[in-house]
Order: sequence, then structure tokens, then C-alpha cells
Amino acid sequence: MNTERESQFSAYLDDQLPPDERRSVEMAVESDPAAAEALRSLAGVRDLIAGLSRPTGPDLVPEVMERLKGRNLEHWGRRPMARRLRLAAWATGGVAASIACLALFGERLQPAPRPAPPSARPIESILAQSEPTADSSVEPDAVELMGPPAPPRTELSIDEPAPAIASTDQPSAEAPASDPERSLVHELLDGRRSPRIFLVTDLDGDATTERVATLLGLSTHRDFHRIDPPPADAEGDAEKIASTDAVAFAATLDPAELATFRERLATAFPERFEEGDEKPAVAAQLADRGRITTLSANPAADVLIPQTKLAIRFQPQERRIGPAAPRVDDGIAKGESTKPSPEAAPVGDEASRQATAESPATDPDRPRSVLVWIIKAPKD
Amino acid sequence: MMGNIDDLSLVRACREGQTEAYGELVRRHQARLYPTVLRLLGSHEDARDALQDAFIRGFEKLEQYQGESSFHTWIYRIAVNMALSRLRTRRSRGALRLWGSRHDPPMIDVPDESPESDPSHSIERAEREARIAAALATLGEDQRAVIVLKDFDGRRYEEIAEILKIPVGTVRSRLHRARALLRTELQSLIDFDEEPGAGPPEAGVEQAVS
Repeated sequence: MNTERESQFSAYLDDQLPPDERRSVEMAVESDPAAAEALRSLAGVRDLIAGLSRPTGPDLVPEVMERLKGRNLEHWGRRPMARRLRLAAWATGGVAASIACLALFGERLQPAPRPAPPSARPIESILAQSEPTADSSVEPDAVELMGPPAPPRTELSIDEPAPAIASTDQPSAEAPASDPERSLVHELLDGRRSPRIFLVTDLDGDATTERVATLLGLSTHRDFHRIDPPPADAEGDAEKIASTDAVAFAATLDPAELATFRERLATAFPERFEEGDEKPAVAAQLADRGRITTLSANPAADVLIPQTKLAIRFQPQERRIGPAAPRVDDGIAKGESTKPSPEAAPVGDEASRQATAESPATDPDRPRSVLVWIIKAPKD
Repeated sequence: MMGNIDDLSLVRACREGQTEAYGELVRRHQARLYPTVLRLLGSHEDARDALQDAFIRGFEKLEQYQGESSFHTWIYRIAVNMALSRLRTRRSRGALRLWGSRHDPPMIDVPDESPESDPSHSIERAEREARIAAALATLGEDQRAVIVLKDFDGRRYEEIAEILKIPVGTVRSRLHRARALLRTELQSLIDFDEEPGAGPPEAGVEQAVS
């Protein structure tokens, strides 16, 4: 018996078939003992699962309330996402080293000043200068969900001004201003823009990183950039090495591409990503210190296969001589990509510059630059 | 006390800063959520942790709850997704434990109710459940999710699609693959159940095959 037929049997058991298919299944099992047996066995599986016991479990109230002690929903709800996120892992390791994929929505800007040359100071030392803040916006319990309590560590809200940003006028030995890639990424991550952040929880190591890269490549028609953590200092200890285990991606997306990318993230990482609007000043340091690789876009449409019957309908009054494609039913039309044609727009660095330099911050139709940040799942 | 207050009022109380109202919500819904999370994760320890995390996450997201569905449905979705996240994490560490393994407490907390209260019946049932649990553990997380939500919890395809953020057609195909794989693993139990006296077969199937 073929798989499609059996799949139909399974749907029959769940009363998910239209009347004609339902009748077809009933006729099949009436005439074919093998089909009848297949249906019986699938029903047997269903009944075995349904019959599993349902233990009530422990009383979680005391533990949950203990964890919520001191929290107030009003305060929590008003606190911007970025303030809840701490970059302690960047500084000293901690609960989990962070892989971050930040998506900065490139506001249309006046031609931006040349990005400040990156600081030569190691990001670890820069961040380490930030004293643990008494700011109530940093929720003590913010990382409880991510794992067991970690030893005290230096923490920094990602929207907190970082000392390094103020000193980016200093020339850098590691990232010369003539490095066009780094300059471009720095421009993308410029702290004066109003970024929206995507944070993706990394549960499977490289697979998450690769998946994000793939989705980004599919969603944009411009080149984009991967930013790996800087190499550990020669004298760096294991903790420092672990603390820099982070990856980010920066790109420029058209509004429609952005919507597609958001949807793809939601599909690929359900319950694993958040979105916010904070200004991650510290993110600029990614461009200063990170190892930057430019990746090519691989735009592709999502092809949705309609589950209803299809018909191709020609409309003679609209037919023209030339390459115009025939119109199709809505079922297919809905599957069309919302992305612009690659031929219709500049590609690569030049496009990124145009996209970020020409558009005023308030124009929703202009391309926006994007940066994403993924946080590693807690370790047991 | 809070026993007479409906869920939505408790949510409002939480929003007004009465965090203790959330304790009542946890008390009301934990018992219904626990079996689902347990069947998804396969271990009491993980189920306890995941459900606890789900309630914390629910508290954090409480402002997003607008009462468009019941609170149970809303927290159910969070709990399922928290459990699936934990499954993926565990898989990534290569530490997936089979249900009923020696590392876990016994899976079966079956209430001692007659006429099934005699020891031999309990042992038999425990062994049977351990086999089913072990078979479930062989499934990938995607297939396990749909079969637990459909066959264990009785959710509709559309609900499952919404919770897992997949098309209804994918629900159907994953469900069939899961059942087909489990059929191979559990054929002897299925055959046993179909023996005369082992219990009445499902009415719809009987009707179809008669």
C-alpha cells in the first residue's frame, strides 16, 4: 500500500477527509483486506497513545512563586527587551556564551559620517570596565530562565553606552579605516540608528548559525556580513575564549524582505526569537573587533503548493507579445515572492550604502539594515 | 479566597501587581498541563523543569494575553513550545533519554483504582506504558509533537498547526509518519489488543471495515 493511501487512512481516522475521499477509503477497506488491516493498525497506534496514563505531576506553585518573588508584572512588561538582555557572556562567560544575531533596521539616514575607526582595545576589557549597575532595569531574574545561577560577573545592558563607543575616534591597529568591509559593517551597526533587534536562542550550535545565515541569504538580494568573535588574546585564558563565542549577521533588507525574514525566523525558531527596538550601542563593537566575512545573497521565493485543485487561466485580453507570464489562480499567485527582482536593484556593498545612506529614518518604504543576535541555550 | 475568581480576573490582578494571583493560575492549570509536557519530554524531571519555565515565561508574557482564548489554551501553547525547545536542546547534546530508562523515576503514576488495582495488572500496565513511551522516544521531535498533541491530547489539526506554526498539511503528513513508525514498534501490542476479549475496537474503524 502506498504512503499517500495510508496517509489518507490516518486522516480518515481523525475525520479530516472530505466526503468523497472518506467514501473512497471506506470502499477500499471493504474490498481489500490489506487496507482494512492497515486501517486497524493505525487506529491501534492512536488508541495506545490515547490510553497512556496522565499523572498529575508535582505542585509547582511554591517553586514558581519563589522564582517570581520580587517581580512585578507592571515593571517587567514596561522594560524594553534589550534591557532584559545582558551581554555578560561577551564579557566574562557566565551562564552561556552568547551567539548573537542582531538585526539593525537601517534607518534612512543622512549620509553618515565615516564610521569611527574601531578601538584597538579588546572587547573583553572594554566591557569589563562597566561596573555592575544598580539600574533597576536590569532584572536580577532576567537570566534565570536560561540556566542555573552563574557566579557574579560584569554585566552590561546592550543599550547601555559603552565606554568603547566614545573612544572610537582612536585609530585602530586591527581595523584600519581603509578596510571597506569593516567600514560598511560599522556603518550598518552605527549606534545612532534606531535598531530593531532579533534575538535567536541557539539550541543546536552551528546548525542555528547556519540556518540563520541561510534564511538571511534567502531573504535579501544584497550581500550580507557574518561577524565572528575576535580571536582570543594570546595570553587569554579559557574563560575569555569562551566569552567570545558569538556570531552576528548584518544585512540590509527592503521592507518586504524584512517581513519575509521575520516570518522565516518565526517559522524556523518558534518561541526562540524576540524582536525589539533598542539601540545596542555595544553592538558597534562587533564591527570594531569581529572577524567579518561577506556572504552572497541567495534570494529565492517560497513556493507554496496549494492543497486545492489548480487551474491555469489565460486571459486573452491581457495577452501581449513578449515575455509576460500568464496569470494564474490565486493559489499560485500567493506563492510569489515579495522580493524585488535582483535585476531591479543594485547588489552588494554599493546597494547597502545606498540603502542606508539615502533614506530618512521615517520612510517605511526604504531599505533597512539588519543585525541579529542569538543567545546560546543554557547548559545543564 | 481566590478560588472563586475566574482566570481573566486573576490575570488582571497580576497586571495590577498582585503577583500572588499568578500562584492561583499555576495551581489551577498545572495538573492539566503536566501530562502533555511529560509525554513530550519523557521524563518527570524534565517535565517538571519545563513546566516551571513555562509558567515563568507565561508570567513574563502575561501582558500579551488579551483573553482572546482561554488562559489554559494560552499557557498550553507556551508549555508545549517550552517542552519542544527543551527537546531540541537535549537532542543537540546527544542526551536524549528514553522513557522508562533507568535514569528516570518510574513513568507510571497510575492511581490505584480497582478493578485494575491488583499488583499484577499494575506491573503489566507499567510495562506496557514503558514500551509505548520507549517507542515514542524513537520519534523525532516534530513527529512526537504532533502525535502527542493529536492522539494524547485530542487537539484538532488546525490547533496543532497554529501551536507548532506549521501548515495543516504538514500536521497530517507528520502524524501519519509518526503513526506508521509507531506501528512498527508496537505491532505486538496492537495485535494483542485486537485479540478477542482484549477490548472493543474503535467504532469508526469497525464501521469502515465491516
